[in-house]
Amino acid sequence: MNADRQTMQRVDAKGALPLGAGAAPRSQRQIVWRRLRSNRLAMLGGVIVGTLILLAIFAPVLARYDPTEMRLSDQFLPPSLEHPFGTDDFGRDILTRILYGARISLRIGLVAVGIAAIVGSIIGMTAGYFGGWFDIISQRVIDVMLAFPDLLLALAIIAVLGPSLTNVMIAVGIGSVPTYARLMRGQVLSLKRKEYVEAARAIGAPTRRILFVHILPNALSPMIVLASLGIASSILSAAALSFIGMGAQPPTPEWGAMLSNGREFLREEWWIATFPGLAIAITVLGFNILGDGLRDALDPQSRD
Amino acid sequence: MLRYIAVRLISAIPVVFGVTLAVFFMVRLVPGDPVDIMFGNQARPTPEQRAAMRKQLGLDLPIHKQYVKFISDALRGDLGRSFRSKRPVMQEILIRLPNTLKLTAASLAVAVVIGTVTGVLAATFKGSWIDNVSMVSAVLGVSIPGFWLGLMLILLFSVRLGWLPVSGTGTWKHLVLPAFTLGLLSSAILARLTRASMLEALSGDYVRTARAKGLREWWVVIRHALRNALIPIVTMLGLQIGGLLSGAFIIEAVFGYSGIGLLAVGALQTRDFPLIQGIVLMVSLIYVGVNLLVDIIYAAIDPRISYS
Repeated sequence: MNADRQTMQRVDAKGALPLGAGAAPRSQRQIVWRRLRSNRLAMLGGVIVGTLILLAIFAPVLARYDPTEMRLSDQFLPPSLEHPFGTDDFGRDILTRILYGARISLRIGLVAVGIAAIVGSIIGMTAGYFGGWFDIISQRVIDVMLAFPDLLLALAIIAVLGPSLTNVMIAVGIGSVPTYARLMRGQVLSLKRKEYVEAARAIGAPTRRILFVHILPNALSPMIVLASLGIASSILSAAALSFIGMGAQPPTPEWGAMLSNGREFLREEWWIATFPGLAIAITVLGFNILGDGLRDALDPQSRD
Repeated sequence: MLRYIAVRLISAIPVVFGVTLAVFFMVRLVPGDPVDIMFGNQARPTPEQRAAMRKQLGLDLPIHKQYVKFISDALRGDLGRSFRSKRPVMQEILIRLPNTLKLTAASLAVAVVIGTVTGVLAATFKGSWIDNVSMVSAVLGVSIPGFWLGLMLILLFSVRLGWLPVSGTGTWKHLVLPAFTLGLLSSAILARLTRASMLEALSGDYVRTARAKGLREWWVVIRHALRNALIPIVTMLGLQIGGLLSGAFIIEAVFGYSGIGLLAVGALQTRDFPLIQGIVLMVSLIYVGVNLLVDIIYAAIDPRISYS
């Protein structure tokens, strides 16, 4: 359907209406962008995510301290101008650690979603397009994976691989493969019966071309939405795993691990646990509302 | 209906088989001697302990016989022994399971009450400030980390106000904060779903008819719209229970609440493999069972559903 719409719009653009200043946006991308821009909440999400990326890139420039160096003379300092978010039990500046933590959280989100989306798409595309025994077996494996409550699957994988930041990314990524595989399979199943795919097959286009040129680009929009929301949930799961000591190990400035460390000092030094938690919440919120906005923009019927 | 239940039960068999297979291979897939893996970080086992473990795992048998032994042991309730406590894994799990079930049930109640009420209000007053506030809180609800919310609630209600215990298990007071934390987060998803489902129901012809009959608006909303909106909500509950079960793993750790979640975290930290294996098996089987039950309830409340 998307492709039909796209083709129609391309035809329109080439037709009567002149392109240029003041012309109504015509391409699919422009329409989506316009819808997204008119959604204030989604724009807020975009601003949060954009700011976060900038903070992560410029962390070494922005931070005034070293994220891991201990300064016992600065232990447990409450928030002040010198240390806006205070310092922890090792005298490390919490704001600095949060800035560096943004790099870790973004990496976790991207790597976990990358693993899930790539593996899931390959499985889903193969299963959906070719069907047969691969479809049957992969669907049964996915059924079994879905029989484990989300975090439990990641925990089981970490139990096997051992606790570390890299393993958390792998575990969270593998844990979300079923969702992407199911979605991609469904997309391919419906797209492969479209006329333009049958037309491509009829003129003898090779399978590779049909899959990557005709099917994949049209299956992408729901995947983009899922990936945006997936970054949010991956960051949350990974932080939870680090919180229980299964992820990033000290002194890595990972937000979940920082929060876990702050628990001990909750009674007096509340800032150690509070600010990393806020950082997680704001980041996840940003990706969530951006994802919701993308969904509405790509498929206006899904609203309400 | 009976046919539906039968088909659904049969379709669960390969899943249960797959789950047991996955748990069985969990230890055997790791490179290295499964005996060493089962002993994890424990002090070096004596040759006698190693021999006992080798026998327990049936490692001298061919792989398919090992699996049969694993299943028949599990069916007899023998999941091996925990290294930390030396007690049978089954016993360890069964002692704590009621606490986790209590927590899951209490948080489900919190989630259902908050989620459906918010969702119904948001749908009834669509576009109003009530709608906006509830939907913004729902997005917040899926973004806030549960372990952080838990700590903040402890900070407020236990440390500052002193109303509730900081951690522990036993009385209803110990249950309040963990159940509220878990339930509140879960209610966010339910609220969004209830709203969407209610909006669809409220635009139905039967609602227009009910209104045309001059019924009171709240009666139309509750009796006519909500009843029909409940069907997708019930399905969602099955998934929610899975979320609550795995959420309980983290939340129990935050509140030092002695359920299988706290047990699992301890087992993971000490790499107590027999215990990890047992917990993963039990929790996933419970989850499969719950989803089966939800599907059956679903068919019972919606006569349109059948396997035909």
